[in-house]
Amino acid sequence: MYDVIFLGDSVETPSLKQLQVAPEAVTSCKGKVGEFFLRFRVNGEVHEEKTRAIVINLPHQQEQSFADLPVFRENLEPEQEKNLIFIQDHEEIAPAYVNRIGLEKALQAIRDNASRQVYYFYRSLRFTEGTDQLYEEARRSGVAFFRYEEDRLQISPPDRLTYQRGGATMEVEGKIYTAPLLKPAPELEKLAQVLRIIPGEEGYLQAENVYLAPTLTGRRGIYAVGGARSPNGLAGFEEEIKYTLEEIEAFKFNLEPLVEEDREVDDRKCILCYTCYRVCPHAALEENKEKDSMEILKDACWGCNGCISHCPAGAISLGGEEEEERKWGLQVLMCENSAETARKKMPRENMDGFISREIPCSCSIKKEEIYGSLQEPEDRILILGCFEESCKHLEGDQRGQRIVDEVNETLASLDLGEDRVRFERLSPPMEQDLANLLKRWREGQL
Amino acid sequence: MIVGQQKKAEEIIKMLGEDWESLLIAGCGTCVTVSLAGGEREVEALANLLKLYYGKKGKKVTISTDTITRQCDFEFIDDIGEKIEDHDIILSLACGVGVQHIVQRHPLKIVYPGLNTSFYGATTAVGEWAERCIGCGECVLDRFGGVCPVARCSKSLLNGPCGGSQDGKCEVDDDIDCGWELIYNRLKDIGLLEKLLVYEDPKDWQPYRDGGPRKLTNKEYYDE
Amino acid sequence: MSEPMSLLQKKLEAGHFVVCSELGPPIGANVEFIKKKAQKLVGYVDGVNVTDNQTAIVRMSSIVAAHFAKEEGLEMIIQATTRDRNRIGLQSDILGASSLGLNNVLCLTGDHQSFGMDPGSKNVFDLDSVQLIRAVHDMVHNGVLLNGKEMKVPPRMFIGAAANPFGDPFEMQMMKVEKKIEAGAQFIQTQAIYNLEKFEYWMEEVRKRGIHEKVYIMAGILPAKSVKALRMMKTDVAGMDVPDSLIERMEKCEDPEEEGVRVAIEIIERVRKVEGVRGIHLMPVGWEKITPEIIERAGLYPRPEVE
Repeated sequence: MYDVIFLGDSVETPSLKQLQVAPEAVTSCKGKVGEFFLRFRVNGEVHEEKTRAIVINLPHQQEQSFADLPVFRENLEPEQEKNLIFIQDHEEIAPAYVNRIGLEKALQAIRDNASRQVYYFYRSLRFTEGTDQLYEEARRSGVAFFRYEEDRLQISPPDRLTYQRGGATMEVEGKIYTAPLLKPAPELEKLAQVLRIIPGEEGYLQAENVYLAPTLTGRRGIYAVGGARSPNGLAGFEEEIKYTLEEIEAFKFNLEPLVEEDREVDDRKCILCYTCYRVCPHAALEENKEKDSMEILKDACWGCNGCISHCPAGAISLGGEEEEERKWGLQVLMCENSAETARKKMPRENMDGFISREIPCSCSIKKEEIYGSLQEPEDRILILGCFEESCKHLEGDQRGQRIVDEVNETLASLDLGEDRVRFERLSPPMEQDLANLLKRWREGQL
Repeated sequence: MIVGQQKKAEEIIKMLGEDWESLLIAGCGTCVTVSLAGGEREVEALANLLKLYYGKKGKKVTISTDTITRQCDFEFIDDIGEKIEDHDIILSLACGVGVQHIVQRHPLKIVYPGLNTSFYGATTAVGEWAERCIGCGECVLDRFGGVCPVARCSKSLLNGPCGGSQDGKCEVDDDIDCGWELIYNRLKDIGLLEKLLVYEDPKDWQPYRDGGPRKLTNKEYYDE
Repeated sequence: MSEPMSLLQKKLEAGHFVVCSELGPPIGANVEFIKKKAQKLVGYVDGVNVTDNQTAIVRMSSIVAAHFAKEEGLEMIIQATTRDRNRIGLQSDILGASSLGLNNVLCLTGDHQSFGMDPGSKNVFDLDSVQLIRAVHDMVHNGVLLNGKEMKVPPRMFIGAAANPFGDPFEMQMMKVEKKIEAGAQFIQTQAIYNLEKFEYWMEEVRKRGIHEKVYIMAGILPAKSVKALRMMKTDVAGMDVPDSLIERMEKCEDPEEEGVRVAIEIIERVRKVEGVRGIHLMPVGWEKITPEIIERAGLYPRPEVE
C-alpha cells in the first residue's frame, strides 16, 4: 500500500510512501480514498497498486501568441532601467487566472527599481485569497493599472503599445511582458475519464467550485496540482502541494466519512444499470461482484442523494429513512448548503405558512415525488438550490433544474398549471433574498 | 439493449380513453429500466402524474403499479397475473415485445403501450443512447472494421459513402455522424483500407424482415 | 470494345467534347410542358438527363418524361435512383427504358427522402449505386439479371455514374469512383463545380489513378440565377461546395442573371482545359431556358454530328 501515487511529476515526501506513474499508462482506478486500486500498463504489462491517495501533477501546455515577447513567468531583469508593461488577458484562454503572478511580478519590478514606470493592463482582475492585498500594494507602490476593452490594445513588438480609451489614445514604450496563453495538458481529458473526475469547463481537473479545497477534485482523495489543477495552479504551487501532502498524511491516521447516514443499495433490486455510477459526482459507487449489486463506498460519499433520486429501479435508499407524512400546500425544498443556511439566519415567522424540508442537494428531488406532492389544487413546490460553481456536488444544481424543467413541460402539456413548480438559486448569506423570494412566490409574483 | 422512450403523457391519456376505472401500469426491469424509460421509477412518476390529471378532471380511478423483471417471459408476467386480471386496462412500459407478450398471456385484456420502442443501442453518455444495430440477421461487421454500414449509414450503403457526406457528417442531419467516415477512419487506422475496394454484393435481406416475421430455434433446447 | 449503345457514346468515342443538359419533369401529368422544354434544347446538346424524383420530390417518372422528350428529337439519359425502387423495380425499369430506345442511364443512390416533401416515407436502398451499376452492366453485357436469370434479348445501355469531387472523406470517395468503374460505369457526371481549385485537385488525383482513361468524365455546371439560389445550394444541398468569394461576387453585381451566365461560362472555359474532362453536364435547375445561351456564348454551338 502506497500513501500516494503521483501521476506525472512526483514531489519529495520523506514521510509518505510514494510511487510515480506516467499519466498515459493509467487504465483504471477503483476504490476510494484510503484505498484506491490503480491499474496501469507498463511495457505491455498490467500492474495494480493500492494507494491511499492520488496526486495528478502535470505541467500546462503553453502557447505564446506574441512569440517574441517574454511571458511574465520569466525572470525579470532587475538591472534594466527600461519601463515595463504587463498585459494580462490578451487572449481568450488566458483569463484572469494569471493575475496573481502578474501582480507579484509587477510589484517586484517596481520594488527593484522605483524610478521606472510599470504599466499593468488587464481586462478583469479576479481576487482570490491574497491577490487583493497584492493589488493594493502594487497600486500604492506606483504600478499604473489600466483596464482595457477587447480590440483597444495594439501591440507593436518588441516594445510599443497603443491603448485607446474613450476618445483618447495613449502610447507607451517599455519591455512588454504578456500573460502566457495556457491550455490543459492533452493527457487530462483521458485522465478525467479514467479517474472519473468531473473536469472544469476549460478541461482542467479542478472544477471551479467553492466547496473544493484548492487541489481537491470531486473525487475525495484525488488531487490535482500545478498545471493539472487550473491556471490558478501556477500561482501557489508550493503551498498547495504542501497542504495536499499534509492532508494525505492525516488520512493515514484518521479517515472519517464525510456523512453519517448510511445510504444502501438493495442488492435484490439493483439491476446493475450503472446509472448511479454515472451520475455520482464523487465516484462513490462501485459494483460489488460478489453481491451482484452496486455498492456505496462510504468514505467516498458526500451525501448528495443523487444516486437515490436517479436510480431507475428504486434500489437505493437512505438507511432508516421513514416515509414522511404527507403535508399539503406551499412546499419549499431547500438545499442544505445554500437556502437552508440562509433560512436559519432569517426570522422564523418568514416561514409561516410554508412547509419546508431540507434536502442534501437539489439533484436529490424526484419527479415522481413532485407529481405525488401536487395532488391538491393549492399544492405548489419551490426548490431552492445553489448557484453554479457553488454546488457542493459540482453539478447538482443543473440536474435539479433539468428535473424541474421536464416536470413543468409535462404539466403544461396536460393543462395542469404552468408554474406550480419553481427552481431558484440562492447562496448561504442571502437570507433577505430568501425572505423576499418566499413572499413573492406566495403571492404568485415570481 | 432495447432502447425505449416514454410516450408523451397527452398521447397516453388519449389512448386510455374514458371507459375504465382501474389501471395497472406495468414496468419492465431489464432493457427499458436501463434506458430510463420504463422501470420502477418511471412507473411511479407516470402513476402520480396520471392521478394528478384524473384528480383534477374529477374522474374516479384506481391506478396501481408493478414492475417485473422481464415482460418478455411468461414466468415473470405470471408473477402479476392476478393483478393484471383485476384491472380494466394494463399500460405496459416495456418494449413492444413485452406489450404483446402480456396480450398473448391474457388474451381478453386490454393492454396499451406506454413506450415507443426505439432501437437497439448502447449508452453513449448519461441519459444518451445511440443506435448501433438494426438486427438485419446477417452480420457484416467483419468487413467494415466493426462499424456497421447497415445501421449507421442513413442509406445502408455497402460500397462506400454517398456524395452527401461532408466533414464527417451525414447529409440527413449534421447531428448524425457519417457512418462511412467512421468506417473509413477505422480501416485506415488499422491499415486495412484496401478491404473497402472489394465489391460488396447486394445484401440478402431475407434474414431481416424481408423474409417475413422471424423465429429462431435452438436445436439443443427446442423439441420439434 | 463492343459497338456503342447510344449516340452519346458514339460522340464520346469519336473524341468530341460533349454537352449534356438536364430536364426536370413536372409535378403533374403535363406532357406539353416536357415537349416545349425539349424543343428548346434540340440542336444544342448531345444528351439530356431526366431526373428521377430529384431531391426526393414526387415528379413524373424519369423514363416516361424521357420518352416524350426523345420524340422531339433529343438523345436522352434516364436517371435511376435506388431510393425508391428495389432490385426488382430497377431492373424492370431498365428493360422498359431500353425497349423505348432510351439507351443511356445514370445510376444514382439518390438524395435521402428527408430532403423532399415526404420525409416520413420509407426508403428502399435495397441496392447502392455501385450494385446498381454492376446489375445494369451484367444485364447489358452478360445478358443476365441479378438473380442469374438469362435474357434472350438483353437491354442496351450506356452506363453512367455520378461523382462528387467535394464529398468527404476524399480518399474514400475516390475509392468509390474506382469501384463504380470496376462495376461497369462508362461515363461520369460530376456534382456541380464552383470550387475550381478543389475540382482541379480532384482531377489530378483522377489522372494519377488513371481513372480518366477508363471513363468519360463530364464536369457538372450549375448556372445560378441569383445570390439566393447560390446560398441555398451552399446550405441546403448535400455535397455542394460554394466558395464565399463567389457569393460575394454575385452580391455585388448589378445584373445577377447576367453574372450567373458569366460565371458558368468562366467555369466551362476553365474545366475544358483540364486534362481528362471530356464534356460538360449543365444543370440549370429551374432555369432551363438559359441553356442555349450559355452553350452559344461558351462557343460550344453548333454540336457535332456523328453517323
